[in-house]
Amino acid sequence: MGLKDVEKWFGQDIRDCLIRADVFLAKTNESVEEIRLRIGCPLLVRGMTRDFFVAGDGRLVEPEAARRVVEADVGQVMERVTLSSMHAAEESLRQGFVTLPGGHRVGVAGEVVLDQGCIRTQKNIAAVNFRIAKDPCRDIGFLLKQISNGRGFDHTLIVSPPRAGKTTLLRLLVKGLSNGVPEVALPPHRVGVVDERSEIAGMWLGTAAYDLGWRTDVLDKCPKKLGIEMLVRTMSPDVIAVDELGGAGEAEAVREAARCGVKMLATCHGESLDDVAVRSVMQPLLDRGVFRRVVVLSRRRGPGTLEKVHQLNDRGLMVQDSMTQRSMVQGSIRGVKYGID
Amino acid sequence: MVLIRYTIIIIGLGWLGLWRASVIRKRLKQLELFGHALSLLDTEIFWGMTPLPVAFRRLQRTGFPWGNFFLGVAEGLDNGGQIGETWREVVMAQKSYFCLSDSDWELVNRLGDCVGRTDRHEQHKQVVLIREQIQGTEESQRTDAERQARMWSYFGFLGGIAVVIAIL
Repeated sequence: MGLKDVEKWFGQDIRDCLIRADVFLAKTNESVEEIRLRIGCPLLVRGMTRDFFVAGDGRLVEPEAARRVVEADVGQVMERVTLSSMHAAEESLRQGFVTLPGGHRVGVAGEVVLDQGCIRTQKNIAAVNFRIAKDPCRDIGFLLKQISNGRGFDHTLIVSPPRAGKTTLLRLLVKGLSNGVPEVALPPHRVGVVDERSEIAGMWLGTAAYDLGWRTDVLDKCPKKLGIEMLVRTMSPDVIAVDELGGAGEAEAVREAARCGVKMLATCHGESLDDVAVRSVMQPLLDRGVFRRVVVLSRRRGPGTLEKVHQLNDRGLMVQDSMTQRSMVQGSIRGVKYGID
Repeated sequence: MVLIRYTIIIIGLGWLGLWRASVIRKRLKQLELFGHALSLLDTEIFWGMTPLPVAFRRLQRTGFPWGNFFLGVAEGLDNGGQIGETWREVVMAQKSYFCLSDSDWELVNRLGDCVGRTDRHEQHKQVVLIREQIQGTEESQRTDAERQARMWSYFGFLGGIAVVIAIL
C-alpha cells in the first residue's frame, strides 16, 4: 500500500504532483506514512523517518519552493472523501476523521461547531492528513504464545505511543484468535470487535477492508461502552477487542465483560506500563487484575517494535517481565521483518 | 393516389397530436415520480445518512427515466466527480429522455445544487421545499393537463381533416 492507493481522493492538480513525487520518493527508500495538506502551507509527505516537501513538478524540495496548498485543494479532497455527502460524514467530522476503503484514514481540522458544549461537526476545513494504512499480513504466533496462559488467551492490554503500531497489532491478534494458531496450540475463538472509529476493520459501506478472521463480529462506529455490553448480550463472544480505551464508562464496561467470563483485548496510549498505571481510568483495570498481559510497543526500531510483555497477577502485580525487542514491521525502514532480529 | 396522400396527412397530423398529448401526460407522470424519488432520497439522507452514490443507486427502483438519471449521477460520483458538476452533466446527457419543461428542470437543478453539501437537517429542509414545489406544479397542472392532452388528441386528427378540406 502506498501513494497509489490514495491518490484518487485528491483533486487533479495535487494528484499530478503526488504521482510525479512517487518516483522521487521511491529513491529515498522511505515508505510514505502520511500526506498533509494545510491551506497556505507547502504540500507535505511524511515518510518513516523524515518529512518531504513536494514541488508542483513532483520534486522533493525545500519548504519555500514547494507547491502551496490552496482552499480548493482541501475542498476537492473533502468532497471526494465524503462522496459529496456531508450528511453521511457528520459523525466522522465530529470525531475528526474519515475512514476510506483500504483502512486509510483522513484526519480533518477546521472550525468546530459546538452544540450545548459538545462538538456537533466541523466546518471550514483548513487541514487534512491522509494516514496510509499498512498491510498487516504477518505471523503473530510467537506473541500469542507469550500472552496465552496455557489454558488459552488471557486478558491483554497493548500499550504504545501514537504511530507505533498498536492498532495493527490488535488487528493481527484478532485474526489470530479468530482463526486459531495450531502452531502455538491456540484454538479458534469467537471474537467481537467494537470498532468505534472504523479503524480496526476499516469498514467502508458495510464491507471490511481487513480480514479479521472467520469468527469475528464487528460492531462498526459503536461507542465502546455500549458496544461491549451489546456484544456480551447478543453475540456470546469468547474475546472482545477494542481500540484506545480511555473513557471512564469504558473501563467499567471492560470490567463487567471480564466478570461475565469474556476475555478482553484492548489498546491504550502510553510509553510504558508505569505510564498507563497512573491514569485514573486504567488504574482500576490494572490494580484489580483485569488485564493479565501488557504488551508494550515503541517505534525504536520502526513502528511495531515489541519492547516488553508484562505478566500480571490478579492483584495487578508484575510476575514476569520479558524483554523481547523484536520488530513487528515487515519491510520497515531497516528492512527488519517480524521475528527476525 | 390522392386519397392515399390525404390519408397520410390526416394520420401524420393525428400522430403529432397524439404525441403531444402523450408528452403532456408523461410530464405529469415524471413529476409525480420525481416527487416520489425525493421522498425516498429524503429518507436515505435524513434517517439513513446514506452516502449519495449509494442513495442514488437505491433510487433506481423509481424506474425509467429517473432510475437511469440517478444511476448516472451515482456513477459520476463513483468516478470522482463532484455533485454539482456531475448532476448538470447528467441532466444535459439525459434531458431528451424526459418530457419536462424548463421550469421543471430549474427545480431539478436546484436539488443538484443543494444535495450533499450541508448537514442532514438543512438538506431535509431543502428536499421538502423542492418536493412541495413539485407537488404544487403537479396539482395545478393535473386538471389542465388532462384537458390539454385530450384536446391535442382530437386536434391532430381534426387539424389533418381541416388541411385536407383546405386542399380540396
